[in-house]
Amino acid sequence: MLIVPDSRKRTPIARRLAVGAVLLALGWLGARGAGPVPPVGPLLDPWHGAWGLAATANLSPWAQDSIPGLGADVRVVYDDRAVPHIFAATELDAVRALGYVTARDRLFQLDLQARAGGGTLSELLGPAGLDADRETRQLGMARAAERLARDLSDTGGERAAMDAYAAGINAYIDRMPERDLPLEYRLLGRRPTRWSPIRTIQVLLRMGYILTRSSTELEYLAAAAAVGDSAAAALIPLHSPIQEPIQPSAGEPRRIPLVLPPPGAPDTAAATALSLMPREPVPRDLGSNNWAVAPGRTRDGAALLAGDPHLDLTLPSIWYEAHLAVPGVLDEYGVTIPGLPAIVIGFTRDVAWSFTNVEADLMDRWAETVDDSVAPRRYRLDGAWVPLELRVEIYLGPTGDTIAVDTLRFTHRGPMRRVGREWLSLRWTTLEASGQWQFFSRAARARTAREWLDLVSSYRSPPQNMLVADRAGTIAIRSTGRFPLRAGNGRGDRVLDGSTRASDWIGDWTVAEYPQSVAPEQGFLVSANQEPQDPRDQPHYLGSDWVLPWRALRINQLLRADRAVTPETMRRWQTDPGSPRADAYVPYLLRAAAVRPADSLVQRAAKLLGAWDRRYTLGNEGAVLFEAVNRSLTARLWDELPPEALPGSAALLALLDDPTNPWWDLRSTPQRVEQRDDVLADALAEAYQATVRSYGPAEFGGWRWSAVHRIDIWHLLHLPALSRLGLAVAGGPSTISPSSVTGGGEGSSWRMVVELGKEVRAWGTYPGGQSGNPFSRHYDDRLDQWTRGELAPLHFPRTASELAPAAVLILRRKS
Amino acid sequence: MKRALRIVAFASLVAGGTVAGGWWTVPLLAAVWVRVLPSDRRPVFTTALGAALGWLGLVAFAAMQSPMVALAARLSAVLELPRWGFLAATAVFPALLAGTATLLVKPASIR
Repeated sequence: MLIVPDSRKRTPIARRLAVGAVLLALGWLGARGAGPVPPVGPLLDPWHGAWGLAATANLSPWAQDSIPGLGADVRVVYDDRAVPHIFAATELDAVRALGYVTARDRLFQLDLQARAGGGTLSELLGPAGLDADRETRQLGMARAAERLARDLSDTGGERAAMDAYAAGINAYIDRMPERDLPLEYRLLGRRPTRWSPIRTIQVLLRMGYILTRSSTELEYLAAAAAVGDSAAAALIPLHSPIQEPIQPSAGEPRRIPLVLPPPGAPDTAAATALSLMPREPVPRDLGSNNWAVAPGRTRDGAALLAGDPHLDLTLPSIWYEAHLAVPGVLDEYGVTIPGLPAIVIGFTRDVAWSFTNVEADLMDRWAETVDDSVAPRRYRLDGAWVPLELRVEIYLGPTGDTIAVDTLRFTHRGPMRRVGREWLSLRWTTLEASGQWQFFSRAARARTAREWLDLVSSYRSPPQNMLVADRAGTIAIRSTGRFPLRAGNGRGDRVLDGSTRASDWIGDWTVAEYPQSVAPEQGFLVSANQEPQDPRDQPHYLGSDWVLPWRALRINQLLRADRAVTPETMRRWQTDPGSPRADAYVPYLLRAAAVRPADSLVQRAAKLLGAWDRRYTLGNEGAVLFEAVNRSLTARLWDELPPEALPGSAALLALLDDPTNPWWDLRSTPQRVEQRDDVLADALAEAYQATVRSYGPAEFGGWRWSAVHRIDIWHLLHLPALSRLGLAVAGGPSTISPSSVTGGGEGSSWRMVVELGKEVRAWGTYPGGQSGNPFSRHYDDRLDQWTRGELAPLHFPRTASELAPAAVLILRRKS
Repeated sequence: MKRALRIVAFASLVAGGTVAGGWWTVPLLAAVWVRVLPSDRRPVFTTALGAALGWLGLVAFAAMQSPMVALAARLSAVLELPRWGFLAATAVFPALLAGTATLLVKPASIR
């Protein structure tokens, strides 16, 4: 030991203080983190920390736990795809177990989705979540969730089911070993929140938010402000100019002539109103498909059903696969959305079902007269002042500190927002949707397609094109949900007068009026978000600005040509790369090229497009050029319009048949009057040049669709290391499996094919995997299969012993 | 040899303490160590190295059951660290905790 002189026996205080400060800083860094650095103690801890996630990433072969309230033990058998098969004695026990296994695999996602629907993301993410929270609460979703939770019915099992689901999730949270805490919480330095029924409602509201917002009023006003009312009305037509409706009508696609009046003088009133409109980002590329084939058109004489809902693609996926089996009561398989206590899309031993979004107009706006333009307390209604409901929204940060406060106002219609100097109130069916769980619980009890439709008829929101097939061979579809009836001209795509109740909604469509078809003569049914009914059959306004039915056209085309459909055919069609859109446009481009034989660029482009098979396959070169032509054409043709008013392809389709329409004339060349073929030829030349500039000469191989078109599947927190970016997939804009041209993040989120034969057989997959743990092999194990368009056989055992278990979980009744 | 044994002993203590109580036991054990074993002439070296080895030992133990190399690489990528950054941080952090705690409580007469 080194002996030091007495005078230096004590370390100087300053030095000790400095060391103490360093230790304190390390302790702070360990416990609380600093800035972007998460709390490093629980993160680096090799036993309880992130390292532990590897040890628990894969399910242990045998595990047991208990859930309060279980009536009997529940056996959960996981198959080789990590799908839990839940064998329970009662339906509520099955729901409890579903909550438990969902939390076990997707705890962070559960929390995040509920927070997104409840407007409390900032409590988890800090100020980064504030904008989204404000949007959610200003739309009235937080208030609606509270009301819907308060009004949960005690009868019919609705509240009991939500409570059971919450008990399952909370049982997992309460006894979760520290080392199982999901990585995302460690990075954020947060803990999971316990579940309650209101959080299930928040998840449902979030789905409504994703699927039912509309911006038609905005698009119309933007167009009217630029080119006048008459042209704007034609650019955003009430009905799709190509009719291939969900409810079969003419037997073949029908064209409705659409005449585009020339651009008119700007509408100043619309321009003023436009400045008032909330500019909410509304996704336009989402879409879904489902179709069913009656036994008379299938090779093996059994009804077939296919479904592929298109949503934001994320890791983990929005879907979680599960099988619920309760002897004599319930035996259903399919996918649920984490947070919902039931299977959403799936099948039983008797029926199979899948959904697409109806795309109806469910969100209207009223211009209100208020007593104070800054802080109103009353609004004018039928000549009298009516008090506004005021609600203070407090936004908390991760440490419970208040980071923002808003005072929200509500009229009898719904939330009212100040935009510019004016106030607009909003009514939205999503905020008024109750009784949703009854639908989920009822559907699985149906024995026939007709019975299934009857049981789900009370479903309200978000409206879905519900397709069902049964083992007896019946196929049926109904666009089910709440569709409001409007006063006046019945339309909801313009801002309405808020000063009178006469402009309020006056009721809802009856179920008999819903678009629907049961056992159609044609032997198949298709929905792909197209206008559900031919206008000749439509009793009321349902919406406007429908997407052109390119996907529906293709699916119908394939089905009409095949009278011996097999499950394998159905699977192949789900990723069919053919494009009716290209079939419609390319002939016009080739005719335009023919009038410029001396233009070498135009001729080279035309030669490539002429030889193109009009398919978006991975090695395809024509698709790259065609999409470039579309971009160039859009910029030239709609040079009168601002970006937010660019019309859909309905208007372009109409113009292609009207070669001298003034819309073809370019504003940038006042000395010259262009016609259709001039603009198309110029677009061909420009697109060819631009593509060569970007990807080199065509003969060098750089124009392959796979090199240009990529899918990004982001982790929920947008962490690149946990995402799968730049995936090459077949398909493009308007193909059956659509995706945007660059960096698309939406697409087919679940693909399923079911054959309703003597024994039900099914196949399916989704982009991702069952586990939310990035270190689990089931985090993204289905991704390759999904990109190749393949499906896995789905195990549907009648008893636990029929399955070769990859893992078993016993959930014990708590004595 | 004696020093090596001390380091191994402290590493074992740290590993046990971490499993039983969590990461915050590391500075606590270091502080106790230096008080209980004042005969150690270089306690900062012993506790810092021992803490690092204790945690790396736990990682090595976990690696017998799981693909830790892949995990380390991915965790590093998540935190935007170099490939071995997360593993390095797992060694450095307990070493700093133990070292500073030792430095704080050790008698001035000990180097």
